[in-house]
Order: sequence, then C-alpha cells, then structure tokens
Amino acid sequence: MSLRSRSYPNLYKDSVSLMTVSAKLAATRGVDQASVVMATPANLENLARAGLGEYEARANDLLVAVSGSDEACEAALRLADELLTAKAAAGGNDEAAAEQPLTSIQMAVARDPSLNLALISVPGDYAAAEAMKALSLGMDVMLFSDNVPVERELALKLYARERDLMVMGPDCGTAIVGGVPLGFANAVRRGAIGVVGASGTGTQEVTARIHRLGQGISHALGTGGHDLSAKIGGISMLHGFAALDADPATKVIVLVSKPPAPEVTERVLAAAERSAKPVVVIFLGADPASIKGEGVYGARTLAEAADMAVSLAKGGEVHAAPVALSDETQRALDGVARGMAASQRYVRGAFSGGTFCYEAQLIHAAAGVRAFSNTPTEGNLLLKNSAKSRQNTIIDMGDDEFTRGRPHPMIDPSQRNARIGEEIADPETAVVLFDVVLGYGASADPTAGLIGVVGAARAKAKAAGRHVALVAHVCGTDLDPQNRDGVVAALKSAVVLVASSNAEAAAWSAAIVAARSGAGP
Amino acid sequence: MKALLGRDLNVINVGLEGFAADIAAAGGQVTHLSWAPPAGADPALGWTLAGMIGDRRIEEANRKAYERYLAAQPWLVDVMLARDAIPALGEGERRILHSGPPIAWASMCGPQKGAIAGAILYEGWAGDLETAERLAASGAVALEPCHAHGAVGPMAGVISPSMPVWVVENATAGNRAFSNLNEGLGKVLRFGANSPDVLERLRWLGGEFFTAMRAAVGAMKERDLKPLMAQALHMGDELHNRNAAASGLIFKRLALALLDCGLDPGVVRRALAFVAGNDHFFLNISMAACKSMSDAAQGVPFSSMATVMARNGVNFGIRLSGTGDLWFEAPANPVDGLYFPGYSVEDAAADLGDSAITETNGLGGFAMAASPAIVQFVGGTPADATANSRRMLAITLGANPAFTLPALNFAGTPAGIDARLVADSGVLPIINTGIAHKKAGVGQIGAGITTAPMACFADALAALAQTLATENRRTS
Amino acid sequence: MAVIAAERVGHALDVDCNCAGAVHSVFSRAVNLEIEGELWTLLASDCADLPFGIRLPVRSFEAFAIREGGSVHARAGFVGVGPPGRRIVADCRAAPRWAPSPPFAIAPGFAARLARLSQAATARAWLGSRAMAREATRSLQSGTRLLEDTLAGIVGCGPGLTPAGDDVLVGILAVLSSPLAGETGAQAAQAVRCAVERLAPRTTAVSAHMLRQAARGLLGRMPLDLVGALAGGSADELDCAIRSIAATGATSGADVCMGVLEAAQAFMRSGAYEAAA
Repeated sequence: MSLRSRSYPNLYKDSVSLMTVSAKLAATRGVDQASVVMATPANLENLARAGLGEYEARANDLLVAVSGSDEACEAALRLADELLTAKAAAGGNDEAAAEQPLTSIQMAVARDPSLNLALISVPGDYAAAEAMKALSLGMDVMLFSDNVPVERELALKLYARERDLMVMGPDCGTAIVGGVPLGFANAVRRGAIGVVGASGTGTQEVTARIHRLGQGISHALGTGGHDLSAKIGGISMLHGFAALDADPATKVIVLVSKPPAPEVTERVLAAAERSAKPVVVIFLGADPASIKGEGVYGARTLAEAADMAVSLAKGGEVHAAPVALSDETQRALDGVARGMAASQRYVRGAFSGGTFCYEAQLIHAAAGVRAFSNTPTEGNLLLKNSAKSRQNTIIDMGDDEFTRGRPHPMIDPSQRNARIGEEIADPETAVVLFDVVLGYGASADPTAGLIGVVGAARAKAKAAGRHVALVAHVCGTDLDPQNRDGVVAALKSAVVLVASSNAEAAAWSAAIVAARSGAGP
Repeated sequence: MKALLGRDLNVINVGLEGFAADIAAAGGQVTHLSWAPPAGADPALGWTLAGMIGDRRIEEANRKAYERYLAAQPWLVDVMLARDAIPALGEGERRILHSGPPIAWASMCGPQKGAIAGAILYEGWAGDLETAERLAASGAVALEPCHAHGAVGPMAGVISPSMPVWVVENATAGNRAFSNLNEGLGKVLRFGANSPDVLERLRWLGGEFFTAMRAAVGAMKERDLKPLMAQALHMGDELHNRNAAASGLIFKRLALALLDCGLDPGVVRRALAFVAGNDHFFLNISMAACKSMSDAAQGVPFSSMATVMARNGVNFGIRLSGTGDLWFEAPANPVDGLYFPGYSVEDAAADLGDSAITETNGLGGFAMAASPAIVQFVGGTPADATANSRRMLAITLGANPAFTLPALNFAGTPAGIDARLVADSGVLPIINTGIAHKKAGVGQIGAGITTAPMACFADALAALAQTLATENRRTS
Repeated sequence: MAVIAAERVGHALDVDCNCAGAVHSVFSRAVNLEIEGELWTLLASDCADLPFGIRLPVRSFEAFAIREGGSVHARAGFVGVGPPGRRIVADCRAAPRWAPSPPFAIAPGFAARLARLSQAATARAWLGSRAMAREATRSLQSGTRLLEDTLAGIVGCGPGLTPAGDDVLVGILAVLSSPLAGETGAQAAQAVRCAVERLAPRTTAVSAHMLRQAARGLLGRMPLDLVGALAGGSADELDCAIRSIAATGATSGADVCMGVLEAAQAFMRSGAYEAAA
C-alpha cells in the first residue's frame, strides 16, 4: 500500500468537477482512497484525518492524493492529470488566444455590458463577495451557495434594495426568470403564474404541478431560506413580490415558505392584500385560516397551492380540496397493509428535497404519526444518529451532514438509494417513502440505480416473509431532460406506488402506518 | 429586478459549470466565468475587496489620479550632479540611493551590495572595498530607496552624490524625476561590478561625458519625451527591455545639439560614440520620464492606482497613489526566462531594479505588442505579445492614448494599474526583465518575463481599506 | 469585439448608470445612442466634446458594425454597442471628464470681437438665420409672454439635420446660460426651456434632443468656446473658435454663430455675473 500525491498550483475547479474526478480515481482498480480537493485548511485537515497525508499548500492550489497499490496510484495520478488539464489543452488556436479567459465578473461585463444577472455557486466563504461585486455592477443576483453568514446576507440585501436589485438566496436552489432555468429548475411552459419561494424544492413542486395541470409560469423567483426570518425581514420576498406585481405577464402570484417570523408574515400578507392580483400563500405548517385578506388565498400543501393558482389563472373559483383519502384509495392502502408481517409498523422516509421531507413530516403528524428526523418539524424528535433510523423516521438526505464532501442526492442518488435498500431490509419497516426530483441540474437517470437496489432488497425481504410498501412522488414534467412519464413508468414497473404530489404520497404512507399500528405485535 | 423581469436575461455563471450548460440548453444567454478565489484566496480580504469595487470615493480618486497621469508631459530639462539635483544627496550628506523598496545592507543581494560598495569607493568615502563594505554595514552611509527621493535606477539602481542624473520635469505639474546614466552592458556598476575599470568609466561619465550631455541637453530643441517614446513604440521598442529605436532617436537630438555647443571635437566624438554604442542608453531616460508621469498621480487620497513597482533583489514592492509612502512587499516571483549560454536559474539573482516603473506606466511588458523582437528573446510568439498587452487591459484604469500599439489597431497601451482589479481578476502585472547574476559584477545572464506578486496588491488593498474605514468613522 | 478606452466623457453623462437603449443614428464621426430618453453620442477623436459625449480614440466609426436600432447597454462605466461578437465597448470608468469653464468677465474690445463674429457668421449662415435670431432675441428682451408663438416659427425651421432655426436657438442658449448674461439671461433661458419642451416634436429627433439639452444649459464645447472667446479671447482665439464651429454642417455652425451674435449683443455685459451673484 502506498500514498501518492500531486499538487497543481493556482488551478481552480468547482466542487462538482472535483468530486467527479475523485469518483473516477476511486473507481480505478487497486486504488484504496482518492481525494481531489482545493487545498483549503479545512480540506487539508480532512485529508490528514483520512490518512491521505499531510500537506503544505495554498488555498488556490489543487491537490490530488491517492492511496493503493504502487501501480494503481501511478495510474490514478495519470488519469487525474488527464482529466484536470484536458480543457487547457483544447483551446489552442489564435482566436482563443486573443480572447482572454474571463476571471472576474467585471472582466465579463467589460466584454458584455448587457449581462444582467449573476448566478453564483462558489464556496460559501467567497460567495457573498462575488454577489456584492455583481450588485455593485448593477446586476441582480441568484446566490445558490449556502453557508453565507446572516450578517453578509443582510448587507447584500440592504445594498440591493437601495438600488432596486434582487438577491435570490443565499441557499437559493431554483429560479426561472423569463423562461430561463437557474440552478435546479424544472422545464415548464411559460404562462401567467408567478412564484416567489423561500424553498427550492417547494418552488419546484409548485411550478412543475402547475405545468402538469396545463398552466404555465411567468417567473419563479427564490429568496433563500433565511429571508423571512426577523433578522432579514423578508427583503427578497417583498422585492420579488413587488416585481411580479408590476410584471404584466403575471396574473396570479404564489408565495411559498415555511411560516415566517410573525412581523414578517404581517408585512408579506399586507403586501399581498394590497395587490390587485390574486395571491396564493403556502406557509407550510401554518394554519391556512391565519392567512387572510381580500384576494389572498391560504393553502395547506404545496400541491394545493398549485391547484388554487391554476383555477385562479383560469378565472375560476378556488375550492379547498377534500382532506380525507377517497374510500377506494383507503381500501387499496388497507389491502397493502394487511399483507405485511407483524413486525412491520413504521414509515421510513428518505428524501432528497428538504421541503418534501418537511411537508411529509407535517402530514404524518397531522395523521397522528410522530417521527424522528434529522430536521424535525415542531413536535417531532431529533434523530441523533442520522445514519440509523428508529421507529418512524423521515430524513432529509440533502442536509449538510450528508452532503459534506459528497454530491447532493438530487445530483447523485446512490447514497440515498442505498438508504432505501437498508430501510427495506429492516424488519420493522412497513413503508418506505421517498421523492424523485427531476429537472435541470438533477441526475440524468435518477432511477437507474434505484430499481436494482429495490429489487435486491425486496427479494431478500420476501425470502424473510415480508413485503415492504414503497411510496414515491416524482417532482418534474414531461419537458424535463429526464422526462417524468418515463420515470414514473420505471417506478411503477418496480412496484412503487407513485402519487401525484408529495402531499398525496405522504398521506398514503401515513394511512399505511395507521393501518399497521392498529395491527398489534 | 422590476426592469429585469421585462428584459432578456443574460447570465454570468460563477461557480458550477453545469448550470451554464443547463441555461444554454434551455435557450438562455449565459457566460461562464473561469472563477478562482480572488485576493489570494483570503475570504476576509475578498469581502473587503468586494466593498471597494463599488466604492465611489475610490472611483473618483482613481479618475483624478489617472487624469493627472495622462496629462503629464515629461520634458528632458537637464543633466545635473545628483548632489545638486536631489536634496538628500546634497553637500555634507553621506547617503546612497538604491533600487526597490527599503532594505538593510545585511539583507541585500550580491549585485546591490557590490554596487553600493563601488559607489562608496567612487565617492572616495573609503579607499578599499573592505572599508567600503564596513561603512555600508555600520550605517555611516545611509542607504535609502531611489523612489523615496523622486529617483529611479535600473538593476542595483545605485545613485551617489557625485553621479550625474537625468532631470525630467513634468511640464504640466512641475514635478521632477531623476535617473542615473546608463553605463552600457558587461561589467557595470548596476550589476554590482566595482573593479577599477568600472570606477574609471564612472569617472569619465561623471566628468567629460557629463559636461557634454549637460551642454547637449541645454541646447536641445525638442525636449518633450512623450512624442519620442510614442514614436519608439511604433519602431519596435517597448521601452524597457528594448530601447534600440528610442536610443537612436535621442542620439539624433543630442548629436544636433552637440554640434552647436563649441565643445572640443574629441569630447563630442567620444560622447556620441558612447551613446551610439549602447542600445539601452535611453532606458534610464525612459524610466525618469515614467517616474515623472506616475509621480503626478501620487498622493490622491483613496486612489487604488499603483504608482510604483520596484524590486530590490529580495522583495518586490509597490506603492499606491492613495496610501502615501507605504510600501507593500512580497518575495519577487520567479522569472520565466532564457539564459545566456553557460548560465542557469541557479546563477540568477531575484528580480532586481526600479525599471518596472515602465510597466507601472503602461510600457515594457504592458506594451509587449509593440515589440515582437522582445517576445522572441523571452521565448514567445508575436501572438503571445499582443495577448499579453490585451490581458493587461483587464487590470488597468484605461489605455494611454499618447502611447499607441500598431498591433492592437493603434489602441493605447494599458495604463494605470488598479490594485482592486489585480486582486479581483487574479491577472498579475506582467514585467519584462533582465536577469542579473547573483554574484556581484558578473552582469546580465539572461532575460525573461515575470509578474508582480499578488501579495503586494492584497496588502495594499488591506491598507487602503483602513484609510476608507478611518474616513467612515470620521464622517459618521 | 473590442474594448476601447474612452478619451474623454461629457460632464452630464452618468457612466456608472445601469441602463439600456438603442442606436439612434450612425454617422462617420459620430454615433447617437438613445438611452432612457437621453441622447448620448460616441464621438471620433477629432470631434468637439459634448455634455453627453463619449470621445473614443478612433478616426471614424465606419469600420465598426454599428447599425441603427442596434442594442446599447451601459453598465458600471462600460457602454456596449452592437451585437455579441461584433460589439464595441467604450470603457468610460476612468476617462477624464470634460466640463466647460465659463467666462466671468468681458475683456475690452468686445465691440470689435462682435463685429468680427458678425462678419464671419453673415458670410456663411443660412439666409433666414439672422432674422430668426433677431426675432427670438427681441421677443426674449420684451418679456417672455409671446415667446412660444415666436419660437414656434423658429424651431424646426430651415434646412439641415439640425434645422437652422434650432441652431440659432442653441447659439442663443449658449449665451443665456453664461454667467455673463446674468439673472436676466437665466430667466430668459428658463422661458426658452418651457417653450422648447412643448415645441420639440416639431423638429427632427436629434435636433430635439440637442435643443432640450441646450435649454437645460447643457451645451457642447464649440458654442461655449465661442462665447468664451467673444467675452475675453484674443483675435486668434476668436477666429479659431469661429473656424471650428463654422466647419460643422453646411450652414449649421454659422447659424449657431448667428444666435450667439444676436444674444450676446442683447444680453452679455460686464458685471452681469456679479450683479446676479
């Protein structure tokens, strides 16, 4: 076993590229561990901890470290060199030499003053600075990066507000501006409904469903998750709302968030009531009755918000959807539950979308099913060891602890697939609940690995006399690069119950657990 | 934002490259940035820098500094003995000026020590080298940067009281700049040589040649240096590593003037032969002209424009217009160069000399497009040369319309380095440089290209941020 | 694709703004850009400065692919004109600003200089210019009640891209906005400004912009240099100012001279500035 490394001074690559290269090196035969990182102090510490050696390097240097057999290390370093330097070698003609690489936003503006929005996804330590530079150049900003301190967020948003500019984020996963998808976004038709969302997957669920119901999106703007805190005061939500209110293409507005701080709620609802346009508000977990006002409609779930917006856009009335499951559905789910072994009593939710996890917990709680979670909603319990489920457990695998140094499950679902396999193997599991998120930025073939994992795990469970129910919801559209229809068909063929929305999937799962809890040991 | 929803989105993508591909796939307009952490990857300074990029006080100050730089009219007005031109070298002073930022004798590189010892002998303050070195080490002879006294010198940059200096005056603002006389190539003081023949040549330069030059400059009709330099740029000089054309042009002016001076024909002949024999003769005049132009921009509060870049053979130092006399130093970056036969990187001293004042003024490496000959000398192609000049536009306040580049369709040379743009873009000022042997007196052993270190600019910005913060406290 | 550092930028132009517009008209040595209701002008190197001018180190704009109606974007000191790939970007960030320095006193020999100007202007101006200049000046002197009726016959009247009547008014405004025209001049300028707002649609678009700017006291270097030379320049300076302005257009420059002449006789006097101040 040997340890080899190589550093590339002043070579910067984004985290996704680095992880891709790391993965390829790790897959080389004979390689034990491989790590390709920017040599920040934190990364150097991680390398040392992983036994990949101690290094002196600067944060702007790229470091490759591999362990394994001599030959394999050699081969891995060669491969790394090839992958990391491929691009530089490609552009060698005179034209390319004349065009300087753009290394700052200002350089890009000098070449093209019509640039008007900066999409920023650099590491959090540097992200606020890039956003500030973009704002000072008069650009709107979408800040995809997370880990931006709240003081900086406030500084950015105050600066932007003074100049009538918008900061979407930090930690803003999705937006669609004038039909252009930014970050993780679904391909939806253009239309009359505008969305401002504090939650990325929440906004995706609403926009994708609006598309599936035949309507379209004018713009979907994000605010980032902290925007509606008392400290930030909903600056971006209010700004985005005002922009949609003034936008002639937008006829109906949907606001998506967890319940804001009380004074922020008041301000947002007051703005909504002042608007001449109908406004649908989904504050996940808030009592819809608390959302009042002329032309303001409170929804209980993301799906319901989309449904209300669609009927308003068609000029129709808004009716609350029935809360209870239809008798037919209830009977079918009871049937599923009846066939289970005595030990099978619990729900295991493994989500890639944070808001889906949150909404699923709320719906289970409303049905009397309390769950453990790494991101518990009010009244639920914190799952101390998030690697191990206990009783009813609903986890968000897109949360920090799962994504540190690893791709988000929306990009690479393998970690989440493995978890679904583990849950099926657990004799206490009655139902596994999960989401599949499609769209730009998401995994190109999200079910490829999953079908195999589910098949193998279920076969083993069957041998042990158990059938585990799988309930899923697919957030996406037929226009997405992954095509929702194909994904749904693949899931159904693997005997997964596919609901039409996250809320419906959660309701089905809760019904199965309820049926099992009555079933005695 | 209200405007944004109504117009075509045009995105700059900073970070994950996949997002740019998605936007393009969906039919949107997008440009992907080759981003790397700015300001030397220091997140705290990066945030400070971001605040400085939109700061109107800096914009306004830079505009003022840059305008003064552009308006400067360097005139060759005189040749004087340093003791008469520079107060700090006046009667009774035992002081010697050297290149680069301040440095103690003990830390100096070989060539600089050799040159200072040689100058002490030349002044007659010591009778032998050992005593001269002891004097320098003891502090009995003060050692200070040329830049502290309005002067510049190539390589060791040594100026002592009895040496003649070019006097260039900015006719617009009246400020003066000085530079020593170029001794030619080979064994010369500026590379640290101090043998008797070297001192002998210095004596001739300070005697007969000085008399001739003084008379010639006094009688010269055209003293304005800017047009001459502009012409030389069109003749293949970049006025740092190549001064062949400019030296020819100044020769013409000097020769005509000397004819009318009534000097002994032998003196005239020897003087002109010396000028004609040295293709770098103009370098020191070019440097003094540059110094007078960038000094015009010095001292504008809050300006982030660099007014000095200089090296002392150990450290690279810069000064900004808005941070007064402070130096910001870092170890010099290695030189990417070609060596004369028999020498290698092992023999090289670290980058040395005040001649980067030419780059500070948009010449030298910044004007490389003017000088394909130089590019070949340092192992590049003409395409590299124009690319270098173009790249510098990313870090300058503008382009100097007085100095145009035929290869760039007569665009001006990039000029007025903005420290903020250097730190933000990671594009480092490029410098054409000669390589000195690390041992005193061996001379030039190669030439090449180097860059100014990022750390200088990062530190300078941190200091500038302090002055802004102080101002904020004062006004709030 | 070229980034060109501007040589000089007019004082009225906010280059740091973040706005968009379109190319209004393209000439060999000037390109007019219509940006949020204002007319900016890219100028070739040898053109005289304008308050909304961006002077570039180029001889002409013929080599560039600039088309009328093409998009224009201004952001953070960069002004981009034309389509991607063939765009030219004027870098105005640190470009020196041009601002006029108005005269504050009239040197002896004013009458002689007026005579000199009269001679030069009469020889080259459009036939109707002098009458218009007199009529407008008289109307301004006799109170401003009937001003709009008078100006209605002048704005847009005569030949040229900038009709002669408009040029005459620009000349008059160059005098009225001078400190030497004093408080009386300032009041008259204010009256013209109100009238011009209403009358602007009667003339060509470029001329309307120019008139509106002049009525706000925003004048180009040429008419201001002429007023300055008239107040206190040497004979050479005056000739030089007349020559350069008279060289613009067919009669355009001379028509401006005519306006300056008539208004200067009526409004400019030593001590007017001190009195007003």
